[in-house]
Amino acid sequence: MPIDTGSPEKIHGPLLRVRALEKKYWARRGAFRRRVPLLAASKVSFEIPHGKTLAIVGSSGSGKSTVARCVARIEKPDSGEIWIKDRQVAQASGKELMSLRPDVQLVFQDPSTSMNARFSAVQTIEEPLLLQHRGSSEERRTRVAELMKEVALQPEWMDRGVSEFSGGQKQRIAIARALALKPKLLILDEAFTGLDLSTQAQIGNLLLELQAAHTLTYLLIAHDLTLVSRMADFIAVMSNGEIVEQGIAQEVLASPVHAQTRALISAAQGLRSISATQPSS
Amino acid sequence: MRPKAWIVVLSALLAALHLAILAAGFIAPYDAASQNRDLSYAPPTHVHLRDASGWHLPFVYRWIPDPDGYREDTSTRYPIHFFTRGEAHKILWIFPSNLHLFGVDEPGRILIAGADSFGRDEFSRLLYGGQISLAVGLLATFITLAAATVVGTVAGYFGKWADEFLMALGELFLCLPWFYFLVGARAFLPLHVSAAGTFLLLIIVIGIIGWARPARLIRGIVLSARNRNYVLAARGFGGSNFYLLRRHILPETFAILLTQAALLIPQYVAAEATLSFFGLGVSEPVPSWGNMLSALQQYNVLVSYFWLLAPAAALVITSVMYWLLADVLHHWIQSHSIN
Amino acid sequence: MTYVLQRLLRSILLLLGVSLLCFLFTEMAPGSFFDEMRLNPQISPETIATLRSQYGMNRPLAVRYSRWLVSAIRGDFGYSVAYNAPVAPLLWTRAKNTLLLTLTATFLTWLIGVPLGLLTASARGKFADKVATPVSCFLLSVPEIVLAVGLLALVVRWRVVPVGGMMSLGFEDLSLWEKIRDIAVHMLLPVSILVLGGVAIIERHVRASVIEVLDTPYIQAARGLGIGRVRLLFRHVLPVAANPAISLFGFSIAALLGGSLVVEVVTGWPGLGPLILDATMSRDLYVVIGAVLLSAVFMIAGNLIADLMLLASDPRIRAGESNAT
Repeated sequence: MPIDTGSPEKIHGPLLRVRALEKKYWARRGAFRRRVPLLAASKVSFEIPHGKTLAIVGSSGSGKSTVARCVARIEKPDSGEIWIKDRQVAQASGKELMSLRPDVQLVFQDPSTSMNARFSAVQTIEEPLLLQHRGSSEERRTRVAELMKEVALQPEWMDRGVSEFSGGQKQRIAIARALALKPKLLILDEAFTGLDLSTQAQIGNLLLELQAAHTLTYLLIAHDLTLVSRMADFIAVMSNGEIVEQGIAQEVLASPVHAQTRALISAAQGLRSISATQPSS
Repeated sequence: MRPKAWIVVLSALLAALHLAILAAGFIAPYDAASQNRDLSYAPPTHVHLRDASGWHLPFVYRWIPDPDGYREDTSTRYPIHFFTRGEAHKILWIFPSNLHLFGVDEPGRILIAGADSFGRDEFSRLLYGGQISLAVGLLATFITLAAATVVGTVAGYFGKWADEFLMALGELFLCLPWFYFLVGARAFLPLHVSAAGTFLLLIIVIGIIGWARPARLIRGIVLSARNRNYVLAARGFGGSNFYLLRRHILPETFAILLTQAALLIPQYVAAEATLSFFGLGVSEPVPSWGNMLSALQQYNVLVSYFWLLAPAAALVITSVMYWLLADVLHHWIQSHSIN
Repeated sequence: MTYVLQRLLRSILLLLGVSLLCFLFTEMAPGSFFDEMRLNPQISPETIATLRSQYGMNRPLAVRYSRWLVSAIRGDFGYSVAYNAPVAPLLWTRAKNTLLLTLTATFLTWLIGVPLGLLTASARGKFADKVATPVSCFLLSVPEIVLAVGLLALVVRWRVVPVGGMMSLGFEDLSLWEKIRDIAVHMLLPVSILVLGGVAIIERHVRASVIEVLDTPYIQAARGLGIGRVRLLFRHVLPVAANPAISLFGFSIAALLGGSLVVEVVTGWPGLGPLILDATMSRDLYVVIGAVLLSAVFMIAGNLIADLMLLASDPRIRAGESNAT
């Protein structure tokens, strides 16, 4: 069950608002290798209130990652609007984009590829601080130590190479890095895939704690409904680049309307029944 | 031996070789140009430890002309002195000195590798010649790899038109017959240039021809590094192109640059040697391993005076060591990247 | 089919590009054949001017290039100022000699190198491999000039074969069989030098690619199924290991004209190598361009053939054609 943050801050309106987001990719098809557009995301619209979690679910290729990347402005959407609080993000560029960056951070799927293996933990976590010119080298190290404590990592390890950490620990480093600039919105792009079940649970708990502590808003991209049911307040289901169903998580999961939603739920149930019959690891 | 051990050993040996050649003025007993008509084609001096009167410290005899060539003049012994004073030379081309590693008193002459047609000490010329040949190899390699890095980075990072254009240009260069083009390119530059001019010309011509293959490799690395998540993340934090290239992408190219260097240096040294052998490179009286070998184009020299093959031996040693290093580096890098 | 056409088009464009590059290079050349002539007091300036206009050297660059290109397509490669003869026949005679040498050498190289590579790959770590590997590595790393001069020195000392040139004196008086024998004997040295260097390369490559295939799980599985060694080799290993070999083959073709310059000059074989060297010394413009272009043709053709052979042999490339992703 998602935690009711009961935040004392009176914030009006949703933190994130997305309207009619569209993103095309070009591919070459056919004998003459013509360039053909593929719609990765089309007419995508949703909102997330402050301090809440929206999960976007769907099978591979449904467009979830594209949406995540557009909101994080790692890619530029072709059309549509993205509002973070009251600021337009979709078509921002240059200095304006730079000032928006701290508010939205992305945690990637695979921690081994989302961090430079040659870096140490402190180098990884301080990078956003460095690039945004926040403080001297000393001040950065202090901040990194704070962040590591928040994600339950020992600060004494900060000079160790990133590859010396386990998968779950690496993901904690990634989360610490994402928190460095005190973002308002955290996008978790399949951040749990590839971790074993117990680690997933630990990371999930950590994220919930952090959400409570800092009033973070989460955009969770996942395809595992069990996880989603634990963490999400709202759900949006995507298929072939469009949102086919969305609403309050509990309601959607209890009585799904769209065929795609039903398929996802039955797949998750199948897994649950399998894991129920296996001895627990 | 484990790969890392090989790398250390080979690097140390190569470093020693380069240092020795750099210190040519000190190690060589004579100047590269000092002639001695009495010692034309003299064979290598024998080092003796004893004579009729018993054991001595190492010494040599003078060569005296003889109907069959040369014979030793056993009347006078010339002991080998170490750290002795001899002909003037310059350390690192700046500091004048006349200290030499070893030598014998005049009129004795210690010819470790014999003498050439002008009676010049082959060993000394070998060391001085090595300076030229290795310098050309190293500098030309630097030019090639610098050009390849720039081209590969621009093509791989900025993509699209730059990439297409540069790779097409590269393919053009790749289908040029390398050596014909080298010879031809040398042709269309003034034949009679000063020694320094030839030197520079050689370096530029050799260096410019080979950029295409390493550029393609670097482009591949830059291209794959560009799309890695941590680069995207750094961009998301506000990293500029320059920062991303410097901090994340270019370090990935170091390994391959090293291997390419180990492959190219011996090829370029051989290229200089070949050009000089044909008279298109460094010319007399400046020695280089190539133009020293051209003396062997004469039949009688080839047959009778085998010590003049010394530059060939030097070329082989240098090439084999570099090639082994490149091979070991290649395997080490491959096994590293699997992890 | 489109792939074939694409590659063909690209090859033609490459050829044009190479010719342009060569031509541009000559433009940047300070000094020309005529500078040397100008220094000669016996030749009057008028003669030089006449010669220049005869050879068309006083027209603008674009005009010269297009005229040259048009005539080149028709088979006329310009005029040699040193030999005072058209370039094309000159090139062709020499090219034939070079091809005789390189074709023989390439054939022998592959004949010896491929089985050797297979042998050392299957006898990995055993005696044959332990001996062959350092020898190969040594031959590979030795520069061609050293190999050529070294072998020449050996042969000359022991007077095993005649050295220099392609034919002995009085060649015309020999019978056909004796003529063949004479040329063959003269070819021994240059071919040996080429083969020594080439076999090392082929052996290393074949060995590496066969070992790579032998280590794949699917071959281990085939072995486990009890498929015999010979059948395994020919039906399973070779087709997969063939790809890098095909590329190498393309490279061999590419080097047919350009790869033997050093050997030819050192052993005195009258091929394209010595010609381009002399032309370089005497700044004979059109001969140099013609020779470079001719060998570039072979290089481009070699790459094209290799690409087409790869297309024919590797089903993955053909499949990629129709799925165009």
